[in-house]
Amino acid sequence: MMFSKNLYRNKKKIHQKTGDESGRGAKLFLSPVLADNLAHIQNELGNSPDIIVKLFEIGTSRTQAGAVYVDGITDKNMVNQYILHSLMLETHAGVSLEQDQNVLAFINANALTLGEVIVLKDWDSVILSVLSGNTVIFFESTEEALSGNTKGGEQRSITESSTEVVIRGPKDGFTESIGTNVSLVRRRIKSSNIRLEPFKIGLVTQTNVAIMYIQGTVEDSLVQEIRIRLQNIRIEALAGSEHLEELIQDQRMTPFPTIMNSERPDTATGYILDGRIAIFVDGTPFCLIAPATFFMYFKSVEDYYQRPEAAVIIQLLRYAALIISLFGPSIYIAAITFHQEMIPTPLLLSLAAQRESVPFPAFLEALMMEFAFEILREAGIRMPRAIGQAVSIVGALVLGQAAVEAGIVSSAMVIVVALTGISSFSTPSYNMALAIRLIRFGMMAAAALLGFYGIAIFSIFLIGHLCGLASLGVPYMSLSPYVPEDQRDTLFGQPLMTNASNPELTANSNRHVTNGEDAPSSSDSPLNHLNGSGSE
Amino acid sequence: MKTSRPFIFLMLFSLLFLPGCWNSRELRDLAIVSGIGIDKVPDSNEYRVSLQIVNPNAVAGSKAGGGGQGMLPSIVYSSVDHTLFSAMRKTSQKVPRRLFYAHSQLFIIGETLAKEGINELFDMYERSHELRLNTSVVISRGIEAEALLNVLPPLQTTSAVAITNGLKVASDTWARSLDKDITDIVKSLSGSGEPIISGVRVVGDPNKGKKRSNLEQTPPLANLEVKGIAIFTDGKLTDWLEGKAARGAVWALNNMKSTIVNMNCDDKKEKISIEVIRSTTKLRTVMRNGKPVFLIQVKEEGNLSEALCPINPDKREVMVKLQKQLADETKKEIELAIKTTQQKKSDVFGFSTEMERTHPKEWKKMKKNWPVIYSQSEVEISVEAYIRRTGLRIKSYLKSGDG
Amino acid sequence: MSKMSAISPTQLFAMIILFELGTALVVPIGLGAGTNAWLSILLAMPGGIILYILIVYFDKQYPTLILSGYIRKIVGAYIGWPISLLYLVFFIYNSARNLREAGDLLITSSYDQTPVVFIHAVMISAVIYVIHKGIKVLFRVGEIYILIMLSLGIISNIAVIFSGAIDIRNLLPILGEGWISTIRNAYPNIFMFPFGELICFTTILTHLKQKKIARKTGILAIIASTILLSMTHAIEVAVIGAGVYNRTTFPLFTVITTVELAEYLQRLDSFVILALIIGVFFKMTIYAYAASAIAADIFSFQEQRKLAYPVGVIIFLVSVLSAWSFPEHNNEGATVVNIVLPVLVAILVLLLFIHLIKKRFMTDRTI
Repeated sequence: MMFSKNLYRNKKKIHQKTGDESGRGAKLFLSPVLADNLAHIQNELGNSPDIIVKLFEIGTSRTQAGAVYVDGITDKNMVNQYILHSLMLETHAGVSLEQDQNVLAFINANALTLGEVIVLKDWDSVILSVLSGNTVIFFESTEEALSGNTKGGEQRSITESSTEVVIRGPKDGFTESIGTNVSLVRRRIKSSNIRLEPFKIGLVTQTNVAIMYIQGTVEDSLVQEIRIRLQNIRIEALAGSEHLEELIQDQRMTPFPTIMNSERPDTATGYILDGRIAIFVDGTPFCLIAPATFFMYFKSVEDYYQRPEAAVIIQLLRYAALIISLFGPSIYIAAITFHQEMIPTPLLLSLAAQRESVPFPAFLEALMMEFAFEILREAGIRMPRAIGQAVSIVGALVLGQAAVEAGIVSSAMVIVVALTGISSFSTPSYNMALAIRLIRFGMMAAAALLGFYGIAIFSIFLIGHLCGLASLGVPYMSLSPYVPEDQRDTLFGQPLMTNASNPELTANSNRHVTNGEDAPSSSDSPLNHLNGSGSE
Repeated sequence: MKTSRPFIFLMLFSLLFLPGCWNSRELRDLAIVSGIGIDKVPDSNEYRVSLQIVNPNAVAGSKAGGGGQGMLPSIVYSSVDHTLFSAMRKTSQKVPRRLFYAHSQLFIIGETLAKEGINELFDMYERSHELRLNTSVVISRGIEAEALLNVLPPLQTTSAVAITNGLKVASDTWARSLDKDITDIVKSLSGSGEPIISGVRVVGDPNKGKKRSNLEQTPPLANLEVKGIAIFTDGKLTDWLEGKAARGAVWALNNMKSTIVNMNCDDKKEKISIEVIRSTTKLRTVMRNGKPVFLIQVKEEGNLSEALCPINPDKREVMVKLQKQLADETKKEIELAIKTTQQKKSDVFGFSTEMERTHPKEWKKMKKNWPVIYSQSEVEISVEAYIRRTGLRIKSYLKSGDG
Repeated sequence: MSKMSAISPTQLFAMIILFELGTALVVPIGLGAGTNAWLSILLAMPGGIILYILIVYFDKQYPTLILSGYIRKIVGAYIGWPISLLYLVFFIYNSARNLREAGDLLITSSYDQTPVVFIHAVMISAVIYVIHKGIKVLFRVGEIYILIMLSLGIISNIAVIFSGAIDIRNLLPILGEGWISTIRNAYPNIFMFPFGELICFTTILTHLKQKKIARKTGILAIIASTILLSMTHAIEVAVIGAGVYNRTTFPLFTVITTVELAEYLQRLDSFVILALIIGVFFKMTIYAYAASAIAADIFSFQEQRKLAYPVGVIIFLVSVLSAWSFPEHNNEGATVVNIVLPVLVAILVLLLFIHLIKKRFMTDRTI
């Protein structure tokens, strides 16, 4: 822990320095002297032991060259086989490499058997390239260097998503590698209209960020909007997609998430096909999806994998759970402290008997229980899985049972709080569930203050707030402005057959289905750089 | 707006802990009233209001409450004052909790008070939001309302609950009583008709019924019984309809759900039971020679449920005869009821409302003199009776004399 | 208008229904029409539709102006300004009336210990919040609440029907007092309340997205709300009878308290209270919006949203101070319905004539 902290701090310092230097004047260019270049790069990176510098000679002319790469983030096999092997052993042809200008071109054309090689001239790009996992090759008396894409190293393999589980459906989930993530989506959409635009965000971290969408399906203004928002980010370090979400969301003062995230490539694919934009951030297995609407958070991709009738019922259930988790305790409080006439007489008598010995007002009691429940939940999540079980047993059995028996809380309250808690788990999105948890407390306070009137007014505030929200300028409550054709899919997943069109709010009006043949060429897309797998 | 939001929340939270909190009432601070009884204080202008309060601990018997045993399920408090509402409030002096009326199911009027007039008793019910308009109303027969509330009934938690449920069940299955609520009574009092209210009496010793010992033996020392229907003239109780006349009134009021009609079997008296399972009554008024004539049309269905003589319903004429007997019996009972009410000039069946609806012009003329017109008017009753089924057997196992 | 404040036809439809139902759903309507209230409501509908067509016509003639704008265009700034002020005052007053009505009904029905000031303050804060968010948000909220309102209505109606409390014969005699009396109840009483109140929409139509179908949508909404209103009042009378209906301050509440569907479904009072809160909220918000729009226009105030605060505060104060008792409040209401609103509607009709004459005159001159 200490070590890594120090390491991080050192790095930060160094980078700040380089940042200053590059910021101060014009770009620094490479020197023609190989030794100087190698010394410079080692110096620049603080003589770090994981920077590997390999000196070698090429061909019969024995041109001096040096390959630089960072151990661990490069694919060693690639470095050995496609760079060192091909340069050192296979380039024997006695072609004159003395003519300076031709070295690079020649090597690039004949020697490097890598798919992706670019020519670098300035130090900033060299260092970024090395730190990104590329191998940079310097040549004696050449002011340029070649950078071969050898990104690799140890990565988490594609595993099943742990946050969004489906029973039936694909089992792959996003990983921390942006290239892998993009490829997972690309595999699912073989359209030439798919577009990928890269960004680098964070002055220090230089994190790769990419947006992906289908041209013609998505409204151009949305893409433009997101480009502007990404370009306007001025930040030292980008920690992950959560961080990015915060930076590009429309409103800050809201508990609701206005940008969707997903760990599942099929979810992302579905939304891209809907005419939304996916944003991938390197190092995060969650891609962002914008624009988002409130109702998206209550859909699970599972709904599309089950029979539509079942899916509709399940979604209805989820909305019922939403209502319970939002209003459950507050309705109980309101009924028990303001509107006792509403409770059927036998139930009222039984509740009254239970509450005889409870010393706290209902609101305080509910607050205590909710609080205890939130602690339990938090503890259950943070604990190692084996202990997590024990926490819930202690919480549920010991705390709940004992509290009721001791007369601190009434058993009805335990039921209400437990039901609320379980209901809140049925929201597929954790972010949304968090927002609802938060609002529930406000609702409870309103109920304790003014009963149903309080709840009604609080709900007006809440719905007013929700209606005022936007995601990329698209209204968050997409139920309105009402576009009837869109709504079939809003509340309940519809059978795929009937769901051929894209929502009009986000979709381009002149959308058309194009085949690969007559579609415009996609060569303007620099996706190759990120994708790492070369162009077709 | 943005900066003030935390402040607003802080304010809301601080308000919660202020004492009182206006309408917020904790359950344990409430005294749940299950029934209200009203008596006239003799020789004065005051009312005695008795409130039956349920003890939730004894009723729900939960383990959280600790001791539920040894407590009485209900307690009756009463106070005297000039208006009902103030007498109810006055009771707060005796009750350690806040009185809560929204769950009171029963309103009992003492017979003495009913004889003096009930016209003014219901204003409080109409104005209050806590009292329910669908509270059942009964008259305590031969006893004070308070004494009725005091009885500890078997099988039910409180006497108010026992009377309310008993009245409902008896009205639906025996049809010699009516489950009328405040709304119905206010409707009749505000119109030109008269209310009609069932009576409840105590069988046994009402004083012994107050004690727990009442529940410790069978049959109980004191029990509650729904009996008779009170009819009013000008808001004052003038007569009781009993037995068949009461059932006739239930028929005429279209409140018949189910009942058992006994009929003669040849010469054996009342030895065939027909269970009436469906009955609808229509009241009509027509003008004949400038006088109103009331038409009562009953259409009923029944089953043969018991025959203590050998009859053979296989034969068409037997069934037709039974049907005719049933129709005649029904007609007779309704006539009985009508005759009594006409004698007392008490239009309990809502003919006035019917006149108002169908003959608004004539009604305006008759309005003032209605009770007299009612008592002199002609009533035509027509009954259509059907006996649909005979149960799981058709023929009786009894051997008929003539083979 | 700008894209920021565009209202879709569906939203307009929802809002007109909410506005029309508003308080009219819960309070007795037509000042003692009794048995035939439902018929009077139906009879008043054509008047409402004609008024709406008039409003749409003005909007067509002056698509970018609100009421106060075209008043000044038609009769000139000197006469137009005070007339606009009159409308502004009326809108504020009526918003306050609605608030007062809701507050009083809430207090009589369940919040008897809570200070009226607090009840009003809570409600007005919601109004200010939504108006501050802008008209687009207001209409979006309306669109969501119409669903809530309708489901409340459906549940309550089912409960009332299945409880068997309805006695259709309570609605007899139809036309017992004759056509004249029924029509007299419709005009001006019911025509003015709730239909005459549609004059608020003179400040709203200009924000409409698809103006072509504004007329059709509005008329459909008026028809739909009339049917709902008429049906509700018919049910109310059928359940409690004309006698009680005419005496009660809050018939819908009385109806629902008499309903007993099952042991466990006895009191649906809170449904009615919820319907009341929703209805009143939208009605007073529309009034308050109309007031702030006219205020912004006649005082040339740039940021209309900011006016939510002063307008809200004034409404709050007026609502608390306007009448000392509920009967007094009702009497004031009769004055409003019988005198003030007819005058305001008449002004609108007068404006139409002036406009038409001017138009004719001007075209003649150009020829």
